[in-house]
Amino acid sequence: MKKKEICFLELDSNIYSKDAIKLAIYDYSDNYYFKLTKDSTKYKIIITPKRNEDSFIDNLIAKFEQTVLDYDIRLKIEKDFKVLREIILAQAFAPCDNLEEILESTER
Amino acid sequence: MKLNSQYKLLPFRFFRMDKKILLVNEVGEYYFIDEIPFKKLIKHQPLNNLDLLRDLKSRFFIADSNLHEYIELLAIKYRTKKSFLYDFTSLHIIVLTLRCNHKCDYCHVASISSYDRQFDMDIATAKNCVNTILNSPSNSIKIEFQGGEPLLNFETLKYIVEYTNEKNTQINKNIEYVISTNLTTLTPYQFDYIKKNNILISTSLDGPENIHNHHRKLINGKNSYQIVKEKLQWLIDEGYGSNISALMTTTSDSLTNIKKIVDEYIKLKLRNIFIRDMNYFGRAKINYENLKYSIFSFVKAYKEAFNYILELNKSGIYFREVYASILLKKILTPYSTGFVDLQSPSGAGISVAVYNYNGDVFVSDEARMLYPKGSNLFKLGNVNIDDFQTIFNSKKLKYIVSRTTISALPKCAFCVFMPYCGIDPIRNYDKYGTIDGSRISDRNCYKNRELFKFLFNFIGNNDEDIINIFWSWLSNKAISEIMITN
Repeated sequence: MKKKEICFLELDSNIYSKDAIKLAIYDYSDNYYFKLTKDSTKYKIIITPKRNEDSFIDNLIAKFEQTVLDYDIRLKIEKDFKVLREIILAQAFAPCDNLEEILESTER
Repeated sequence: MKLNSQYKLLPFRFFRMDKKILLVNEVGEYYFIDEIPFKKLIKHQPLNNLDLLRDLKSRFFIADSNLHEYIELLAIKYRTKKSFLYDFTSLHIIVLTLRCNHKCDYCHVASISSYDRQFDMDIATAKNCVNTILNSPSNSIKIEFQGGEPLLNFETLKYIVEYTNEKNTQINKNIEYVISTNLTTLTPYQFDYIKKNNILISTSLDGPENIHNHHRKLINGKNSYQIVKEKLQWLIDEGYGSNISALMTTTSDSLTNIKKIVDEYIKLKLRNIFIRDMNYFGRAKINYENLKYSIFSFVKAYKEAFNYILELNKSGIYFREVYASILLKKILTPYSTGFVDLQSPSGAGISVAVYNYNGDVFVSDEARMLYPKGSNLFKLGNVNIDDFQTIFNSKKLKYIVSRTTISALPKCAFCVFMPYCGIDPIRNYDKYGTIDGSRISDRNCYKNRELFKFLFNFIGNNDEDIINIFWSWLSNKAISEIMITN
């Protein structure tokens, strides 16, 4: 039986957000187990393949870091337009007459 | 819009393709953007490119000072994309009998071979089904006859068509009929009736003789493929070909013979194919060990078939892959589709309802299969006991709808393909024990993501020939029929 490999990764907690890391972990959790810990400056991640027959895909660390960065972006821009998304959905099913006022109030 | 000055981001999702970044907004508009302008965009920096600004604005990724106008237009587009919510409920599947003359090892509805007519829908139940169906608010109603083999209970089919047509003279809904049949018992009398009432035919053909007969076995031991082929030829010779569609069920045998299957469809003059992943319900679940294959091998075979079909279309043969056409309609047009598995919230119950032979109403065929195993969650009522309000305004259906809006689910929430995608609560419940399931190990999620990426690669490459083929599929016409020539 092939021995499972283990991968270590450290991410600067001043740069990467915990939420983005957790979302990325969810994406990869079909094939890997993750252990996430944190010290004063870094998130420490241990990655283990779930099945003996699995091995690490090429550039796993690089791809995982890219996924974390992308989720960071998504979380950031989501904050920008979360309210707009809710207004679009509300307007779609229950249109209101004072849309301009509502939008102005969200800008304040 | 003032160039290089302030703009407001409108909601969108993104995904890194090979060379560019794909943006998709809440209403399914898409745009391919390069890395450098993408970085500027998310930082709200000046974009320095008039064409890019116009593109992003016209596709509702950014807005200028008139934000409310963008929001109003996006709201209209969103409502259009979700128009299936207003078509409540449009597809009604009536199980005329559980009896079937086939015993297919992958049958997901677990038909029975008995000649016992206790498994046939009786006239009183049929009448109550029609009364319930015609109470649906939707103006367009599709009644699909299923089984078992529905031709084995043809008198009830006739009653339903005639009673529906009679009642409809007072309410004027658009009624469409479909029969899902293996064709093998079709008689001239039955075909005359089908033709007279313009009933569409959906049949099953798994491919060449050896593949089709390997899984689709007639109880009487006769050759299913030969009979289906003869009946298809007969219907096409009678000029009914455009009213026939065929479905194939993918098995491990077909994965390695996918081009031969396409060739078989073309040989039989069929104009489209629906390459479907196996649905592991009913007998398919019982025979899982013999029937299983990985979703990776399905996607690989699907792509091989798709590329082959594109080549055929390029050579002038009109032939359509139905699942790709559904996905393309979602990507390339502002409209929704009636395809239940790709709806959010789930179309179970609100887009489709299934009426079992005994009058029980379920949110789908698969839900019907779970019921005998003790799952009451997806049974909405019984037409012989409950009225329309009790069945369709139930807490149970509201619960299913409230739990199946995919924008609220992990992974889906940030998925770039979310505006085009959907959820199958019954499959989730069967596999994970919850109706929202898990996207991590889900074969549907993997399949849909891979196929969306596959199609977006073609769209991003913008090959005129291929884009024209896509539009010909969406309009269900050959390119020669839709192209304007000088």
